[in-house]
Amino acid sequence: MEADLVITDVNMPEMDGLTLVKELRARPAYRFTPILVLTTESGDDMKQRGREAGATGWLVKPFDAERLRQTVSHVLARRRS
Amino acid sequence: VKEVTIYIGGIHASDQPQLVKTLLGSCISVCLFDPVRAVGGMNHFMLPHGVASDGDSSRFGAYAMDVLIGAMMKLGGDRRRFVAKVFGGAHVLNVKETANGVPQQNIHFIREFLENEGFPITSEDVGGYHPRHVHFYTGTGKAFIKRLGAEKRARLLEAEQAMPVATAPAYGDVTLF
Repeated sequence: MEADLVITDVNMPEMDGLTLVKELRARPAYRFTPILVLTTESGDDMKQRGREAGATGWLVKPFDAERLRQTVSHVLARRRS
Repeated sequence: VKEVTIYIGGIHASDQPQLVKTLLGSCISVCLFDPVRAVGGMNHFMLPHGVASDGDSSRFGAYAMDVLIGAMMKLGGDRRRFVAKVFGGAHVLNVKETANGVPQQNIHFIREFLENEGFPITSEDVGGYHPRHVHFYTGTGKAFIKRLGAEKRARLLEAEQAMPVATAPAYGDVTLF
């Protein structure tokens, strides 16, 4: 099963979110899948690491549900166009 | 041991044996502990007055929990092992305890949150009319509570009522790469 979109945190057990992004990007099926990082990590260096890992976007908690919905719609539309 | 005092909106976590202290009225503190890695941490939060059912106010508590969980994971803790102790939610107002007052909303929120996360509550001292001093040892996960007399209530109440606005977390940034 392939996902249309991935939303992940950074601080997780076993595999952190940035490693997950890198590993997904290494798979052909996920090369262009939008991957959003949703986390309390707000530092510019962490965002930069996310960008380098291949994340599509970085959302800092606390998040507004409506803004998340808009962002998801936006990256899905961008992917299709 | 190093001692750290936190206030409303604050969190502290450590992988070293430390003593975290706070003073609670209607606010809630959650002490999380990973017994395998001996990582412990505490937060101190309150849901804002009067808007607890609209989903928006719970973000204050959810955010306080997210930040605590994130800080502990960074220190090597594993959320699958976290156990929780919950304190606070006292009626510091001189009014009768009601089912939908701020303290009850805070207590309801945190029980539900911890259940959803799968963190067992190993100790709880909530509700009632007395403010509480909480001492939490991050190295052992032990917590001690001292209930305070009514004379502390007025000052605490004043501090807490001023707080929700001041500590309302702004929504975070959205960055698209």
